[in-house]
Amino acid sequence: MALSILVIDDEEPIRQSLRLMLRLKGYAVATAADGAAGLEALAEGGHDLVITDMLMPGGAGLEMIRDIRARHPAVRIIAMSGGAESSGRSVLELAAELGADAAIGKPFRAAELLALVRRCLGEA
Amino acid sequence: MTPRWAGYRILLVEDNSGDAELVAEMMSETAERIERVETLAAAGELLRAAPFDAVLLDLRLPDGAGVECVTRIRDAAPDAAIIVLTGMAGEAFALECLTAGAQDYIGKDEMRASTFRRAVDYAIARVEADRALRRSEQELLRSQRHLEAAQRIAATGSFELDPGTMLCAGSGQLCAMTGREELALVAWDRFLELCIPVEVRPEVTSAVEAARRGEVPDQLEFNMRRSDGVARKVLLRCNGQASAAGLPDRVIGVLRDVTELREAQARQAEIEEQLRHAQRLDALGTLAGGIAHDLNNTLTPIVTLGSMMLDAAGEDELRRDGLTLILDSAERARGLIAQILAFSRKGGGERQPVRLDQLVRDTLRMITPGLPITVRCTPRVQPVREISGNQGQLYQVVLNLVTNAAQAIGRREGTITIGVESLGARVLLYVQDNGAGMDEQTAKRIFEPFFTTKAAGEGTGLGLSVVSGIVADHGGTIALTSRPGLGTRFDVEFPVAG
Repeated sequence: MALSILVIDDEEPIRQSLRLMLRLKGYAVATAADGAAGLEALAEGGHDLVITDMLMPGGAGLEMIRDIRARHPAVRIIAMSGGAESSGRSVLELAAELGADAAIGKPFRAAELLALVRRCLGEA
Repeated sequence: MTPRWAGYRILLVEDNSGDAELVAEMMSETAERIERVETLAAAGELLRAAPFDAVLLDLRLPDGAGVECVTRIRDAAPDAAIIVLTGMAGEAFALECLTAGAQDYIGKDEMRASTFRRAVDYAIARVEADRALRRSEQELLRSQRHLEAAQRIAATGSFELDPGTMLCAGSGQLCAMTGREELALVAWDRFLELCIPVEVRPEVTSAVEAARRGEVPDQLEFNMRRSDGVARKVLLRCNGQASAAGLPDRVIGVLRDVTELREAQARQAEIEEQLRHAQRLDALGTLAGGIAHDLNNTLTPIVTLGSMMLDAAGEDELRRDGLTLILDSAERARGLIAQILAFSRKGGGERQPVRLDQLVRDTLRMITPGLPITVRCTPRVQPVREISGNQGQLYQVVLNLVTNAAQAIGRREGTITIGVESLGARVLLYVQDNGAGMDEQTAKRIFEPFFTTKAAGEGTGLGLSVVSGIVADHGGTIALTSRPGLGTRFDVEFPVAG
């Protein structure tokens, strides 16, 4: 059975492109448009990895990472942020401290994200 | 009629019993309290113990004689009237006694009751009048001192003009403000010459004229130069002082030194302007951060899917070239966004000890090859102490300043001088070019984000705002001097570490 990845981002084009790319690589992909929907989807179970945006309206990305880590210790987490080059970097650093397994700044090439995904899922 | 001196306390200093009896007899009708002593010493003792209204003084006493007696009694009783009784005649001697402090002089040969009483009455009245005059003189002096002190503290001088005589007098503080020795009663024209700068004399004169007509003229502010050359800013108000007849018979002018006040107001305005400027930059920074974030999100599908398709393109050259172009463009956009984010960053960036001299040398080695061949780069780098900074950000500062200098030189030939030197507890980095330079208007806005003098597409207008943001983050300052046509110099100072 394919490994399952949950993509959480408030922007539809980003959810779509990640879904497209990850499916092509053989993963099962679910998406959520905000943190609450993401946590619901995780509660239903079956996800191996979460790729989540850190800066979404109404959602504190860092708290979400803490929640996921506490409730679903087996699920791997990749944090991503559009402010990655500077102010976002500290967000990503904090995400790593709170238990994210990897962090990546937007925009990124497919290969960069895939390398992180494989590492997190123990495929590399 | 009861003589005025009926209730007076009178001391008789007389050692001759016969004379004493004579005096006592002349005063017997009315004097209730007459005491007698025979020596100056005894008189002094009594006078110091209690006040007497008058002293009748013989000048031939066992312990003193002549004018000296007057002096000693005056010392013992400053407020008592002294009437000298003596057989010595002569106006010169009488005058001597008066000078020594006596109020009157009676020859023993002319002692009559009426003369005597009148002499005592007048002497006492004279002492009282003297005392009242002295009091009002003291009061006047005190009031003058008060006014002078108040004017000094308020840095305000004044003058008073009599429109009838056109004579004018200035206060001590006005003398101090104008550097004049004295301004007591001078003709108005002369006063204007001494105190008022020539260019405002007509206005001052019409203000005084208006005050004289009973109007309240507008206040005047002007610059004046003290006689010692110091420039001051003063504020003049005139006011007419109404006489009983109605129209003013005095014009009072008040000149207030407002130099410090105006300087403080100017400083205040400057600080407010700086604050507004900082707030504007701050707001732009926040805006820029938001834009950068959204742009990065927008670029994500392009980069992610573009790279994915490129990976899958295999040997299809057309497809590869097209996708490479898309990705390169996205990469350029990402670089611009990084600049915007660098500007919007608050704090951040890891700090470590940095030697600016080494950093500048390293940076120049990297960027000099990329500069136009017509631009010469001259390093003047001296060893300096370490500052606490972020290597990458400081590299960005040098890069942006040098790039900016090269662009100011353009296609012409030119030189960029990059210097690093110690400046006490600070390290100075300067970048100087002999390029186009800029006018004051441009220099004022040069650190604002998105402000650019370059044509569209040639620059983002972010380079120098990034520099100023990084410098401020490092606790440093940046200043520029520029002359259109001659070039520009940026001076950046950082505090040394520790």
